[in-house]
Order: sequence, then C-alpha cells, then structure tokens
Amino acid sequence: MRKQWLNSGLPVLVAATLATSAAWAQAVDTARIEAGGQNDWLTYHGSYKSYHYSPLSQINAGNVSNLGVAWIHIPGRSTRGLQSMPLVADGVLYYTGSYSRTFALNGATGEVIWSYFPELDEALVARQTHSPYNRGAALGEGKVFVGTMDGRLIALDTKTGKVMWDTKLIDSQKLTVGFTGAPLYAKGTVVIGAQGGEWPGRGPIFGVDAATGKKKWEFLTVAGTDDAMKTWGNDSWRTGGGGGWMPGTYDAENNTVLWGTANPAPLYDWSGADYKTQGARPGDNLYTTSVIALDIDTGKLKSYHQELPHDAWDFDSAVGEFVMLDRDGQKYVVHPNKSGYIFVYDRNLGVKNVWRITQNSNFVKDIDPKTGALIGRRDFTAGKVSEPLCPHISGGVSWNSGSYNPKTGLYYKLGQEWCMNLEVQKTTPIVAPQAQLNIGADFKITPPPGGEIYGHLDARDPITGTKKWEVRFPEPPLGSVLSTGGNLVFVPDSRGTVHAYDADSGAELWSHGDGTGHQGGIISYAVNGKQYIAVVAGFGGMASDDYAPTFGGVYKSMPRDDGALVVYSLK
Amino acid sequence: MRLTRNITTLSTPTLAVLLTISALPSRAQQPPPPAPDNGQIDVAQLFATTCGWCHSAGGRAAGKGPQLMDTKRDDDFIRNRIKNGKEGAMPAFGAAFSDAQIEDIIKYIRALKPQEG
Repeated sequence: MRKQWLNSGLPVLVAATLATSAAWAQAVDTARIEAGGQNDWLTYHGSYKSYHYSPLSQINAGNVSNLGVAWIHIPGRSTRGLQSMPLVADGVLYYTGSYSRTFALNGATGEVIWSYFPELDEALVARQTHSPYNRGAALGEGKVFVGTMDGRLIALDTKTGKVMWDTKLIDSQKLTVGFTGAPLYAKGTVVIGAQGGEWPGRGPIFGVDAATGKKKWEFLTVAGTDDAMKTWGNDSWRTGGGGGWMPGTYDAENNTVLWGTANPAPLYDWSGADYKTQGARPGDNLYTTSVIALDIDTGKLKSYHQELPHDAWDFDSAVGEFVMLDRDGQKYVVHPNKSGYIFVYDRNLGVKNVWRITQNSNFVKDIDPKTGALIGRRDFTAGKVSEPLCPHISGGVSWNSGSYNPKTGLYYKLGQEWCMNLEVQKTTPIVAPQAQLNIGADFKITPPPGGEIYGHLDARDPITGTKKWEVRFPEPPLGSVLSTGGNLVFVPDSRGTVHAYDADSGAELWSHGDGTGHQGGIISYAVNGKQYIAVVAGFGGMASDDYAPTFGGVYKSMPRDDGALVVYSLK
Repeated sequence: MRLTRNITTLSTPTLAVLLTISALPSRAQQPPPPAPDNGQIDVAQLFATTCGWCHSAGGRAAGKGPQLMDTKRDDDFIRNRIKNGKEGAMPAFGAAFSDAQIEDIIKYIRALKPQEG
C-alpha cells in the first residue's frame, strides 16, 4: 500500500492569514489562467500566452539596485539540483523539487503551509538516467497537479496538500520513463507528456480528468495515426521514442492543446542520405520532433508541423515555450526548436517564418523560412563523423524558457554555442527486462570550430528574429528568463549569479549570487502590494553534468545534490 | 577492442509482445523480472546504445561520468557501481544485465585503448 508523508501543520491558520488576499477562495480556472493575473503565476509558462513575463513594475530599472533576499526555502534531497518553475496563486507559492517533493509556501514569508513527499518506487528511480528531478506543477480547480518518475499523476488539495487522486498512467517498470515535466491544466483536463526520446517506447501524452483523475485520452507521439504509422519503416515504430517531456499550452480560441514532441530513437541514425528507406527507422518518423495541436476534449490530432523530419541529431521540439502573440491582425505562435532554430507559426501551425539564434550550427545548411523545409541536411553513416556536429546534444537552446515582453515587443532568449565529436554506431533497442537508452553513437563535447564555447542572451523581434542586443556568458546559462513591466530582464546563470538587465539596452543593472548554479525557473509575483522575484538554484542534470569536466573552475566543487528557492524583494 | 559476442536483441514478434504488455499499466509495483542469464553482449555497442551519454568516446574520455579507460578502480568497485549505481550520478543496471554480462563490461573497460586518429 502506498503511503504519503504529509506535513499539513497549520494549513488552516496560514490560509486564514493569507485571507488578506481577497481572491483566496477563488479557484484557479481556465479563464483566470488565460487572463494571467498581474499578481500571480498560474501555469508553467506564466499564462497560456506563454510570455514568461510579469507586468509588475514595483521593481524596476530605477530601483533594482536595492533588490535583496527576502527569504529562502530549502526543499532537501535536491538530487541533480532544482529544475522547476514555481507557481503563485493568491499569495501562496507552490513549487516542486527532486522526487516530486511539493511545497505550498506563504509567498511573503516563505513559511511552509504544507508539504507533500510522494512515496516513490525508489528501486525504479535508481535505474533511471533522466531522473529524479521534477520541473513543475500545474494549478486548477483547487488542486495542485504533479507528475512522478514512476509514471503517476497526482492531484493535491491546494489548501491542505491532501491527496485528491493518484493515477498510474505509465508502466514505468517496463518502459523505465516516467514524468519529470510539468503538467498543463485547461478546461477540466490535465495534460502531461511522458519522457521518451531516446527510450524505445511510443511517447504518450495523456489527458486526465481534473476532477476525478480518470484518463480521458492518450495520444501516441510515435505512429499515433494510420498516416504516421507509414512513416516508420521496418516496424521501427515499436521502439520509436517520442514523448512530450515539457509542457505546452492551451489555445482557447481553437479548443486546442499545443505540445512539442521529443526526438525519435535511436538519437543518431546510420541511414546516410537515403533516410526514407535505410537505417534504424526509415521514414519521417511522425510525430516525433513536431509541434502538434490536439483537441483538448478528445486528444484527437487537429494539425501538426514536423520541425525536423527524421530527426537524426536529437533536436527535439519538446523544449520551450509557445509564445502566442498578435501583430498587424495576425495571430502567431513562436516556438523554439532545441536545434536553435525558432519557428513562427500561425494558429493552425502553418509556417510563417523560421530564424536561428545560434552562430554555430551545421546539422543542416538552413531551414527554408517560407516552408520550414530542411536544406542541406547531414545524415550520417556508421563510423566517425569528420566534422563536429553543431550544436552539441544539449542543444542550441535549453529546455528552459525565454521571455516575451509585450511592452518592448522583444523576445529574450538564451542561445548556446557548442559542438560535439561523434562516432555513429549501429545499435539494437534494448526493451527487456527494462527499456534502456538507445543513443546510436559515442560522442564528446567540443568547442565550435575556431572558437570557444559560450552562451548569449539575445533580445530579438520574435517574428523576424532581428537582434536588438546581445549579452555573452562564458558558459551557456541553462535557466529560464524572466522579463517584467519594470523594464527588466532577469537571467539566472550557470555559475550561480542572477543578473538583471535593462530590457531596452541590455545594460546590466544588478546581480546577486545564489551560491550554486541555476537550471530552472524564475518568476515574479506580488503579495499584499509587494513584488517578489523567485528563482530556483541548484545544479546537476543532463546538460549541467558536462560543466565540471568541460569548464572546471567553480563547477568542480559545485554540488549536484543541493538546491534552494531564493526569493528577492526591494530592501 | 571489441568483444565480439552477440548482443541481447529481440525479434520483432517478441518486441511486439513485450510492448503490448508494457502498455498495460499495473496498479501494484511489481519487482522487475530478473536479468537474463545467458544473453551475450557486445559491450562496444552497449556503450553506443546506453552508456555513452555519460561515459564519452566509448568510455575513453571523461564526460558526465568519469573516464573508464585506465581506471584505478578495482573490479569489485566497478561491479558494484554497475549493479547498484550511485544516487544522482549513475543508474543501477543490476536488474538489466546478468552477472556474466557485467563481467563482459568490466573486461571491455580493462581492454580500452586510445582510438587512433
């Protein structure tokens, strides 16, 4: 029998204290998330518009030098650091740590209202590679929704942390994967995507009834339709990978969930140029490395765009935000691909433009900005690849999110400049007794030809990609970006410093050390008229584990099992 | 050096059965089935399949995990680390690979030489 350890000390009392927030009793619902209230941060991407932007301006370019630590929370057992995006509703901050530890804190003081540590199948977790971090929760209908590495989606009462339902969705014993990404709540449904990509499965995305926890639908990102099945030669769909390991968003006008899907397995293929008929997985491999639009009520596919047909480089579409913006009467969706190419769509996922944020990129010569077609793709055969592949497997952009500021009209996004030496090898999927990674190559990180590894924060027009300014970092920052109505852009970097920049010029206005590297979320919110900035600190994981051997320096002693939530306000 | 033994692979029908079973969520957490006893393994291929994300260049270079070539660790340490892993650093493969397969992995590590070119 599964037990839950629940520290529910004083929830009622603290709730009463927070009743100064007039909206305390107001449930978080679809309309509220759509509106994206000024004082709150109600869903992973801030609101369904996915701006990672707060209109709050109490902290601004004129006074940010007075920003200091208001309070800190230590979640404990932060194996592989902290990677989640906090949420705030009505003065209560909710966030998750490794092993899906979930906390509700008083947003003004950090006082713990309740905490919930799910009992997990620890033996299973010990067998996983992309684990035990958790990247966030969702709010809706008086519940906090959180996924687990052992394949469950759990709903907790927002006021007490009591388990409302606990639904097993994946047989993680067999498939090894579970849930590390945040769910999305909209219109009575909780949507969550499984890990996948390099694991030989079919990468399901689930829709679950928010009230009861019953599964409503399941969409298989590998060969999920008859048409898609035809794009996997030699029955390779059986071990095709896929998945949707980060949250997408909800388009209320179209009753649609937009979601990015993961890469196919093996990551690297030995097909050579004739990938339609040769290699590990002949064909385009639908719907991997795609952006898909699903009917939120049924999970039926409405439209899609495969950003990289037959992805042979592990450049997912699962990463990143879906920036929904209007310009000159057109409605756009801006979505970064892990390769560093940024796709601009209409709301039916028709390609309107494609631009690139990275300097060093050679997996294709280009992507046609009018059609999205790949030009001059590099498809490998087995053996050593002569020229380094750029970008590195950790991507031209991180899985974390950029920020769009509607006041400046600029999209603030981090780019990563690094490459890898690669030797492609023929592999065979291992599915028993548990599924194992299927990479298809040996590789090693390397600097770009003729240069050094670095990262950069760009301020760009989200539609055209025109760059207004850039700030460089000696090592790529891996965390999310926040912009605010105070004309500020916040970047938590890998060395452990949070920077604030002038949103118009890129001039650095403030910085503060958090004591360890960042690779997670950053938000802003207000309680009782006071603005706060909350950021998770704590390093370790698939990208950051490369930093100590690659860069040395501060990374050599940086813990990979520690973390803290650090909250700032004006002194 | 490549230990030229056959990898544990699955025929397509077997795969289909396994995946069908795996698609059925079970409420109770069952212990995993024991590792196969006699399956032979091509360790070089195994590194390119599973291990190489962390142990770069087939174990010849440090990556997320340590360089394995010329390791000073003894066999008992390596055996234990493969079987039980290390929290937050390396998965446990004791349920995935048999004792004989793990011995093959140790032999591969001991035989690692720098790649030419």
